[in-house]
Amino acid sequence: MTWLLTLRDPNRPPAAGTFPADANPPDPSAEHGSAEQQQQQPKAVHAYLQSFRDPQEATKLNTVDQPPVYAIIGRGFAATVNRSTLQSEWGRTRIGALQVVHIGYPDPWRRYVSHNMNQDVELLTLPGYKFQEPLDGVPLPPAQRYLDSKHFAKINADQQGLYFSEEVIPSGVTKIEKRDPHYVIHLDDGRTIVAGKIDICTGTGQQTLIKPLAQDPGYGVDMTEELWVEYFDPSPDKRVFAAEMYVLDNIRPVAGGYVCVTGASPAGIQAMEHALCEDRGGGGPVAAGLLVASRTMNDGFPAIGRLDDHAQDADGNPLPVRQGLARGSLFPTRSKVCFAEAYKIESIQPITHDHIAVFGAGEVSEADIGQTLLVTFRTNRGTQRLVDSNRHDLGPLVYGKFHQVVIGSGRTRGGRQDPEKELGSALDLVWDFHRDFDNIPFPDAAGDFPLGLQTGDGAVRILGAAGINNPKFLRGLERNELGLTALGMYERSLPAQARVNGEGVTLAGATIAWANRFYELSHFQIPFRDGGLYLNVNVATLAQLEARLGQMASETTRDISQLARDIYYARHERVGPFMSKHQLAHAAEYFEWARERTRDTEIRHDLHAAAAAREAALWTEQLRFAGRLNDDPWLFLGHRQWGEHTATFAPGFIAEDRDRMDSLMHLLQFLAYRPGTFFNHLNERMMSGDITPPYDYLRRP
Amino acid sequence: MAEKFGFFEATIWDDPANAELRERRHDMNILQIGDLVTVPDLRTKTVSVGTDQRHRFRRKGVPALFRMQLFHLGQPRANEPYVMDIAGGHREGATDDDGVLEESVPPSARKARITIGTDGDEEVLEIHFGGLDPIDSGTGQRQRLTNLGVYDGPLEPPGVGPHGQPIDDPGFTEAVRRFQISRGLEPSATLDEETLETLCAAHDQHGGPVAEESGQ
Repeated sequence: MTWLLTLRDPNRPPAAGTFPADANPPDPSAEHGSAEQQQQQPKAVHAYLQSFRDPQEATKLNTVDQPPVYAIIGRGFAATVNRSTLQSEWGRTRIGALQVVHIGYPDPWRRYVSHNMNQDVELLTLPGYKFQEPLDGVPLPPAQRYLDSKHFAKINADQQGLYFSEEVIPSGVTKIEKRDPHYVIHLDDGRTIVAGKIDICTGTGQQTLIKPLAQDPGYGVDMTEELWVEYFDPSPDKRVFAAEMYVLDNIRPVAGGYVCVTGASPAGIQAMEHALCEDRGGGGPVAAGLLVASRTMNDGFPAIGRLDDHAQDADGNPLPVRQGLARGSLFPTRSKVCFAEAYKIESIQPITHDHIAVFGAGEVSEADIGQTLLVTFRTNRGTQRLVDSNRHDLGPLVYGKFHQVVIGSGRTRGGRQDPEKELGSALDLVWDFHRDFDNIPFPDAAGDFPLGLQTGDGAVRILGAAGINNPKFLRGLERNELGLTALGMYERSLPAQARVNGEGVTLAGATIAWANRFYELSHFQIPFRDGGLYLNVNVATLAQLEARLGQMASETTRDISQLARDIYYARHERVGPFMSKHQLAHAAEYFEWARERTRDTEIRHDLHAAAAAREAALWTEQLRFAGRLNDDPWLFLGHRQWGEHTATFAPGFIAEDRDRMDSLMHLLQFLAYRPGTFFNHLNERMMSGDITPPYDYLRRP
Repeated sequence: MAEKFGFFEATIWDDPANAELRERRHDMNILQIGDLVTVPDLRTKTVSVGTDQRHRFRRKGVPALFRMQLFHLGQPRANEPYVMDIAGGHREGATDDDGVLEESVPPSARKARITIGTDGDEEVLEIHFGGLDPIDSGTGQRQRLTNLGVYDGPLEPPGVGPHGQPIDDPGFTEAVRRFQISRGLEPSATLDEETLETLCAAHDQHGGPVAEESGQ
């Protein structure tokens, strides 16, 4: 492991220089043209001349006007969902006579490095889009279940193509100014646009940039001035950069080099995939990579599942299907990758001759000068670990040398960095009148959570993640006994893959569609669905499900309200979305069964029923996964199997194969929720064979 | 054309050979490429005057008049200063209380550049004289909607498909719909007779936009 420098000398190398505190970092937006560079284009007017002798001359003339526009700021998926769902009757009335203008640089997804997104396609099926993944269609093969980012970008581009006749202004926005009764949008190049309505759909903004350690003791890093310049420089050859740039802007990994990635998050794991060229990002695979977590690597492995094969547990088992973060001690699976936990980077500096003298030529050589960087680590709270794929502890981490350092500190929400004015934040654009904003309420009784922010006159809205990811700005949010807002409760109802703390594609799309009243009953029959009613059950609110099921009341004998609740809560128990109506029906059936089974427990309200059923669902998910681990999806699931292997974990069966026993025990350790009365009761029933697990619910195409 | 051939405009326009053109276009100032205009032979006018005296002859009908009403956000740009650059000349003036700019220009002028407004709120217009087509042509309709700020697509209609079917032009259709909404018409997105009359009045006549923005 040649990147790891073993020096333990307390006389550390001299601290790296820091970026001067009184100097301003280079402006990342400086790449865009200045006002001088882009002159205002005159408006072409075709006109007629008339004769002085024309008897009608007193009333005849040419007319020129520049009416206010309807500006949609942003050109990514959120803006596209907004434009698409503004096709609703309400939306068309809102647009009225205003000309829609799209402001922003091209969809960033187009330039991102091809990578698998972390959600099944049903959760990336956006409202109002021509592309839909139908619940009753032919499901995609498993290899395509996780949508490729390029495919997602193409879907967005196709959808945007429907609106290409509308004006597109490829520019950034620096500020929005209120000028009654209109609003003035200031563009990067100094031009202004007067808008009657504005929808800001810019997403959450850029990743927070790191600061010098002295300015941010929590996450700051000391670097030489040379490296600060590199950090802000858009050059593809830079050595220190944000994770977004690595994965999305395709900074090529150094073939045979060493890379250090900070930040335990899916983005950090994806950055390591990029380093290993597993995302087909070009370049050559690195020789070794270090993933550094300030706390634990568990934060990098939520329930989404797509990245799970990057980690193993202490016994070498893969991670199980689960609802929350992976538990227990995690180890890498890639032989080139190490995990470090409870560490942070303290300083980064180019390796010099002084370092050769300090470390010795065996660890640092002339060849490192101008090539590699010396990274000094510091410990954080928690238990420090540095482990490899053989599950060996490599000892403390103090120094390392790397060709590239990926800073994946991410965005700090609600934290120290003044989230209301976060770099790139939509709220920054409207700061002068931010007090005018209030929540966009749910348009009917279908839900009581906010859908974004809007000014008192409704003219300016902040939609999608830009509007809903800042709880400090959403006003009057009441929390229930679990500490959750109604919006949080709704997000919890989504399949685990779609819970991304207010920032996910799924939630953004759904809230924008609701804000535009796209799902009002009269719009169920939208043109893209060949006359079929369309409502994505994976994102519907409880009331919407009730309304939809109410239209199908003749097809079921069940209580509609209860059925809707069963689907709603069963959805929460899933990691991925429902993919077919068949699957949905069985899930509802299963949930009803689970709910009935809890009657002998103390149930006060639905949450308890949901919790009880959750445990049941988890159990079966775990079993399903166990089956997969043993290359037999039905191993633990069939009634007969349970009947044949009754008693404690089927000892006769387990005795035949110790590995299977290990897998099952491993799974039990990973149960995300503490087993309760119901779980034990269910367990006994399953062991005795008088319960039939819902096979179809568990079967995936 | 009248200037080029040495006529009064009415002489050509009222010529019996142009009766069909008059019937079709109604307005001598707005013709379409392809229209046939009959130019009569010059009539010789004989004037007897004495020799060894100074005589003044005045040619009528020159120059032409350019009139334009300027709005911004639906409101007249009243009493705003403007600068007009035309054929190497430079003129300054101000619009009247209704936002109307009026200048006499050489009939042969084809282009002018007008800057209206004061520092920071200036608008620059490039005027193509004689470029406006009749209201019943596809280009004329698009030009008017463009001037009124409700359309920014191609000025040429997309034509017809291989089987003679009209090709969809969603940008233009949407512009028509927006125009109808702004004028309180039924938003059919179709250029029916009422819409054409309203468009003609809004663009070619003194009056002006009534900006109805939206209802939400």
